[in-house]
Amino acid sequence: MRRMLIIILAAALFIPAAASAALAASAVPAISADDGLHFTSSPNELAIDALFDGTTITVSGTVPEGAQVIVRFIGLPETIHMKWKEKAMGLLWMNRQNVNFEDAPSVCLTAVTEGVDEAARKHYGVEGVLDRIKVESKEIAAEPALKEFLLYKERAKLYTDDAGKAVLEPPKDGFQDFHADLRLPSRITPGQYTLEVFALRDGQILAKGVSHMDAKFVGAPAMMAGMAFNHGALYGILAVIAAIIGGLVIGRIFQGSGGGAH
Amino acid sequence: MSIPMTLYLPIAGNSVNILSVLGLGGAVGVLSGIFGVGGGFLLTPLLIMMGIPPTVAAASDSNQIVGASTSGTLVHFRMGNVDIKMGVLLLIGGVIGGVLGVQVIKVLRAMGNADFLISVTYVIMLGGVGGYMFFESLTAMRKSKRPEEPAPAKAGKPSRYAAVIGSLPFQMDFTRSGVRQSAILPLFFGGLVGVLSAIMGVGGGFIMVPVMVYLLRMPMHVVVGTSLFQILFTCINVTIMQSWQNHTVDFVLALLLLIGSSVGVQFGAKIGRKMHGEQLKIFLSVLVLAVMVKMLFELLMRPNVLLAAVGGH
Repeated sequence: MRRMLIIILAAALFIPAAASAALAASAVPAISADDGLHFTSSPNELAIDALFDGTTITVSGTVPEGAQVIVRFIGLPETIHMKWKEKAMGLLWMNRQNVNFEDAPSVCLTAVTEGVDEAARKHYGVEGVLDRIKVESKEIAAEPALKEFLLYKERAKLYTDDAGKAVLEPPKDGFQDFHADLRLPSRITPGQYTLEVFALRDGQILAKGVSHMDAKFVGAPAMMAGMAFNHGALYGILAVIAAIIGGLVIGRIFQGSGGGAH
Repeated sequence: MSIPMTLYLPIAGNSVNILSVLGLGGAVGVLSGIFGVGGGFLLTPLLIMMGIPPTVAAASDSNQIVGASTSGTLVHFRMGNVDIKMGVLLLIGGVIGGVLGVQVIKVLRAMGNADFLISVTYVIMLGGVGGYMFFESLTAMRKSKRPEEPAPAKAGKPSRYAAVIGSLPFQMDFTRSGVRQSAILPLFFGGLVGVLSAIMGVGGGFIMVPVMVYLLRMPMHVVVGTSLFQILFTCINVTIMQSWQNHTVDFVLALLLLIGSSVGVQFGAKIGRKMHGEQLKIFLSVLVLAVMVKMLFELLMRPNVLLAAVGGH
């Protein structure tokens, strides 16, 4: 019985992991933009499996000689509904006012090579994204709302201009190779994302390359989320059956101890 | 090949360290074993501190309690320690209370204040239970140092409480417990525990046991079995309702906690046998009060971030 349980658990954990590893191993074909920007990225799809703990996206390619590079991983613009905390009865902090953030990507992670102009860095980084977000609230002003929004996203590691390392190789035949590693946190949710590479010189954009990337649940999380969100009652019944079987099996293993937590 | 130590929880929307969850379940299990209480009221706040959303922590804890109380209920049932009639009435109340509690969470979740209600309920319950245990143990320890005084003779007149419950309608005999009570009482108290179970993710043993002993006047050997019986079915109901209405049950998290706590209980029970009863109670009450103070502090101090997501994840 115990051996069987171990085999089932191992299969649930490792089969999806192996599948997603195979998926992640392939790199997207080279994306080419005008003006000499080419890049490839790996993985080409974000597989959120049972062992997902965030991932690293590797981006490499070439840019014209003398250019600097900004690599940005960004979510699609959406409206994020949030609550603003205020003191209730002058004592306890609770969620009180509605604040909506329009055109706000769920995630914005950038990595830049050395020598990128400060204004360009801000424009293509988190600050530029914040400038484009519209705040809708009757009670809360835009400036403090955006400040807290940034804090909220930074704590979840979803907004940062320091998401990884980007390096340029020495120039060769009028081009320079670059390489970047972007670290994605485990709080990435399923959805569509965009990977953008900007080649800049003196703060001016020379070329831009774009690649789209889907994040989705695979294996056990896909099965669990599908059941939990689409067939909640059935999922609940199965969760109860699993707990009862688990309780009986454990009860048998530790037979004689009686009791049970409650 | 290294053994993976993280596990992604799609319902919580985050990954957790497997050893941390097993360790947390184990630590709470040890405490359960030492003190002979359920760990639900400690597990949910500790999960919240680990970064699990409060609504997911509470609902998954209910699921864990289903597993934890299954074998205990079975053992007590075989021994004839379950008052089925009383248990069923408590259960009807528990189911109604559980449904009500889940609806409250659903409405507050949409409003963005479910987490606030969970924290406030915890502060009140942990403060009340921890404070009561602390002072009761302190008084008992002081008394044990003094020479015994003869107890004053009790008046023959029944208490006001006994008179009130005796006048309630729907009086019936509970033969297994050897008491005669109104059916309204177990329905009411079962309902109360059902509401708390949905909001706090607890089995409610820490409320149900004193209620059965002091208010329903049941003998102790029937209390534990009947309490477990009621808790098992109340938590089954809450788990299904939370899954259906709020999608907040993570059964992988529940299973890990169950494994950890089941192992921990074994060690706790051995440690508990070697420790003095009143010292144990004081230690537990301090622990409960410490968790309460931490949660109260978070409600009173300015949060690090003034924004919160609406409706979970």
